[in-house]
Amino acid sequence: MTRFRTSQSLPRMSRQRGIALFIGLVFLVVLSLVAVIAMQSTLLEMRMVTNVARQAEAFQISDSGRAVLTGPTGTSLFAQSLELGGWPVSWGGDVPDADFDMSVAAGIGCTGSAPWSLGDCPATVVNFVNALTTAHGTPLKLLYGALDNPGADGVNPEDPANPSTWLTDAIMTFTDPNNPSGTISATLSVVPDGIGANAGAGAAQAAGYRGLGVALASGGAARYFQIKSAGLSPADATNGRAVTIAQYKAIVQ
Amino acid sequence: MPRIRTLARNAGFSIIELMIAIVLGALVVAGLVNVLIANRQAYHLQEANNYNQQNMRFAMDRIGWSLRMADFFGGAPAVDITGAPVIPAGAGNCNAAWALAVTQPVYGYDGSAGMPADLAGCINAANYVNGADILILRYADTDALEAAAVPIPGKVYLQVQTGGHGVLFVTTPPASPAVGTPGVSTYPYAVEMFYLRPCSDPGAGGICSAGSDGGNPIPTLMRLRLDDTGTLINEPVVEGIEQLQFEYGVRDPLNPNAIVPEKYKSATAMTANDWTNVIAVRVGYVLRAQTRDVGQPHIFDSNSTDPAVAAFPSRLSNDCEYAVDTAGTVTIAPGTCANFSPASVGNAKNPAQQFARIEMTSVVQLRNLVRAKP
Repeated sequence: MTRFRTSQSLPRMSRQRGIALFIGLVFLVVLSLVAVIAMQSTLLEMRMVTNVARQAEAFQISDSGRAVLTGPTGTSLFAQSLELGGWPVSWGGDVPDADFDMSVAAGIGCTGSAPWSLGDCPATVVNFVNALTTAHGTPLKLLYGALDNPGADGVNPEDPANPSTWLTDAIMTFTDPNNPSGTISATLSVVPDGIGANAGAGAAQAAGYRGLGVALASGGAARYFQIKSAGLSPADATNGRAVTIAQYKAIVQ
Repeated sequence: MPRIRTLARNAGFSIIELMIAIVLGALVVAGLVNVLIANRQAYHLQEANNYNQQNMRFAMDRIGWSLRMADFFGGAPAVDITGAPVIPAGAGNCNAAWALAVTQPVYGYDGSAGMPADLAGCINAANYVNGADILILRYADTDALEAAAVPIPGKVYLQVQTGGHGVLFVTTPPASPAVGTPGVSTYPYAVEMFYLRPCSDPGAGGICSAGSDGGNPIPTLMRLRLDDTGTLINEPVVEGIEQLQFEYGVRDPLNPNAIVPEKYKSATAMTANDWTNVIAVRVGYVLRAQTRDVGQPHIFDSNSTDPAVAAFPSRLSNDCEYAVDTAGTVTIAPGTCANFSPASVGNAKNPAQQFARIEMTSVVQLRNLVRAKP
């Protein structure tokens, strides 16, 4: 009797266990699918948010990248270079280092003459100097000079109306403050936009006088130029790029 | 005998076993139902927030871009721009002279009942959200014509010499400044007016009503702009903007190099001199989700006084603040948001609290006004 019960019930028990396992596996697969889909949508949202953040970062670096070139005299490379007509000797130019002095006026706390003799300059200045590279080798090009020929495509000259033809003149690369392992950069292109007399200048009173080589009285002249700044975040631009263009007027007296 | 009993036990459950199984099963199912309901609510909330955030991002991008472009006239000051081409422009006071008034590159109006008198007849009263501010921007658009390009006939362009003067024209370029002279560019001319419309799709008549958008009108950010034929057209920019506020950061006129505004003023408080000294604009948005979420109340306060966020007070603007409580009651701060009521109020089907809202304020620097002054 005992033998009979055993032989009758064992096969049934084992068959039931098998079904439970099978159903369990089916449920597991379904739940896994649901989990994977949920994860995918989260991943998508994460990518969207990352892209938005990167784009915002690229816009900011694009917008502020110009500022290092275009601040007032004594606070920016561009103004000094424009005023003195060149770059310092230690950067491969022909202006004596001592004349190319933005440290005093800018109050950036260097006893040496920034940016070439870094000495005791604060880290921000050192970073800034190290960040600037030129796309044309040494010496740095006079950024406001004539239209480059050839332009970006290597064949045709730069066209002020067509920013895609503008040659890259300088690149600023910084460590990303939010992501120390990455870098962000601004790629700067400068094109001249002509020269005009300032209101009140002698030349302005002599109506019609405009252009290179016109002698100007004390009111001075204004050089106009456009700077295109392509902000990249990260610097290899895998997912953040913003381009801004601004027109500037530099007053020369 | 024992064999029969064994078979009977295997064949079914006793009533006790069945009841225990039912109770346990019911417990599990009840738990699952709760989880499902909570998930559904979370999903709706998240969906509404995503909708609001995406619309907000777009609105900020669009208005920010236009604000940064405002007063760009190719390197010539607005006072040196002449030319009054004949264009169809728009209705009422939005005529050609209004569209081409370059000496008002940034201008605005505070929200009121109906359009302000200056803009009488521009758009139908039913297509304007009472109490929402209006911003008007004028500038030379990007994409200057290349040297050999021919202007689109009928479209308004600005031909300008950098540091010189400019002329507005349609079809026939002016003789001076001449094309080909160094520093002379031809830009499309742009005028934009941002305002809010109570509905997204007004239907065939073009006028918003309670039946628009399938009976659930969605407040929409609108733009009035010049098209390629010199006609002013209204177009929706983005949906779901319930309230729009502009405040203008005015610099100290004695300190033209200031890059931080002295104070922010509403349009009503601005004097003629203030408008030329605007160097930043603070834009406040309230966004409202597209669909109702009846699962839970959505409270909202545009002037949050939560002590936990006291360091970052959440404020919409100086002249518009409102709140929605759990019961759906809308409280508008006394003396603010003149003539405004959230779009869903007044419709018993749509208590205000059934829409998720978010609020955002951003400041945009007006680069051209900052730097273009002599």
